[in-house]
Amino acid sequence: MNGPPPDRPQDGAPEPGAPGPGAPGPGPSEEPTEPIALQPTEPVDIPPELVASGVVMPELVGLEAEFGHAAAPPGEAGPEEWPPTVPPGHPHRPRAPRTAVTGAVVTCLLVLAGAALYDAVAVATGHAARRWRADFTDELSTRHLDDPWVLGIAAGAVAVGLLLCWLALAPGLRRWLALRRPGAAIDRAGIAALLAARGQEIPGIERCTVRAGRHKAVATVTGSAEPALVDRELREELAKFPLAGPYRLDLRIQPLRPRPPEERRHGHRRLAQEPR
Amino acid sequence: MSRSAVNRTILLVVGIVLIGGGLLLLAGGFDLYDRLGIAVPDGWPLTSPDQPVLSEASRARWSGQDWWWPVAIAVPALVVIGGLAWLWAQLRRVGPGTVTVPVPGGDGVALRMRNSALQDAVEGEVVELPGVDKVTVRATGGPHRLSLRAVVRLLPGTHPGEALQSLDAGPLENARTSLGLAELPTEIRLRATARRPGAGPKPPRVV
Repeated sequence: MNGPPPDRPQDGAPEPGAPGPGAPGPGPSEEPTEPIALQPTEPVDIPPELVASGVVMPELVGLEAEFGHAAAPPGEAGPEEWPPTVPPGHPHRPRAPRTAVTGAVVTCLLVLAGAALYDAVAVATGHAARRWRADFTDELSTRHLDDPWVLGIAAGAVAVGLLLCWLALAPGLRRWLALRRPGAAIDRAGIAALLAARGQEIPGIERCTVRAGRHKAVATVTGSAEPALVDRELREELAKFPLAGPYRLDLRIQPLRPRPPEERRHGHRRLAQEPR
Repeated sequence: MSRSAVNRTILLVVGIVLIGGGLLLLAGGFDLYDRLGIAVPDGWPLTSPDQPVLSEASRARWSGQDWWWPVAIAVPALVVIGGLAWLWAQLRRVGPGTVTVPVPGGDGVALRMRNSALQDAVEGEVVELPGVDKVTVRATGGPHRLSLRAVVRLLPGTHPGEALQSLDAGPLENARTSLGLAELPTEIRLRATARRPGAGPKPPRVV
């Protein structure tokens, strides 16, 4: 059975004209704005969920927080709202430095240019060209353009060039997901670990494994717990992550199969203990 | 230009050169200009599949010029120098060696702290936060544009949003104010462990 995959509650951007307290807050709990709406003048009564999800800054309390931020769509907090330890810019996935592949390319360039330089200096000072250079220019001047070698090398150069351009432009680091705070990212395996740890705590769950992809997490649950309860718990946990983009959660329930405990996992041990 | 931008520029330029040269050869080799009826401008190289890749005539045309030998030596020399400079830059340490700390009331006193001391101080404060299992802090950027990079491993049951908030409000803000900086941009990478702190060491694997 698959759980319904609606977007996270944060992703529903509230309409600008909606009344502030009634707009869906981005916090993980269902009634994040209720305490503010009831007691707007109490200075210290901010639900921690609101503070944590970046909607209300700690210094903005009471009416200011309510009217200034309750209806603001999350993730579009202006740079002036972030503390000075947050880098400027918008949230994005970190970009890979591409050091290794650039090192390989630079090494190839060094070898080629060094050989060409050596030969050019040798010829310019009156020595004969190296053997490899003479062979190379011979090949260049005898092979025609429709030679299979020429065509093959040209196709290979285009393929390598496309690969290098893709490496230069693609951000890389696909294991990280951007968070709403600019400059922050979270490990996909970390999301899976935290979701699985939460799932294991639900009574009646025997096993909960989570695979976190780049756009959705798939939780596979074995046990006798109520699927709606599991779904709610996992969504509550997922809502704690202030992810920058939309993220889905798929829930797959596997029926509990009775099985003898020691036999399947430690078959070799059972064999070893059996009397001959 | 940051190191990543330099690397990506090198890759892009080399890639574009490879694509351009390869496409020229392929278009000439498959006689695409004639088949598609494209009129090429005068002097366009490699137009016919029957011509050699580099004919003797075109070689003689270039190498007979006055500027040929200076250029034939200078271009590979520039590439070699650039490659060696790139390799040399990889050996350099990332980030400043020392950081200047303002001394309140100290006239003419310059207190400088080693980079590793700053990293240790911030790490020690971050580890004290609830839900943080392990942290690594690196100081990067120039001496006048200091920035931090933190990798934080969280424990299960931690609220990641709250952890981010307390990081910004606590250790990073403290580091910023004690260094006397207007801003201290910090990159944060969150990770998580599945093991609880009280779970004890991993059971040894028995073969």
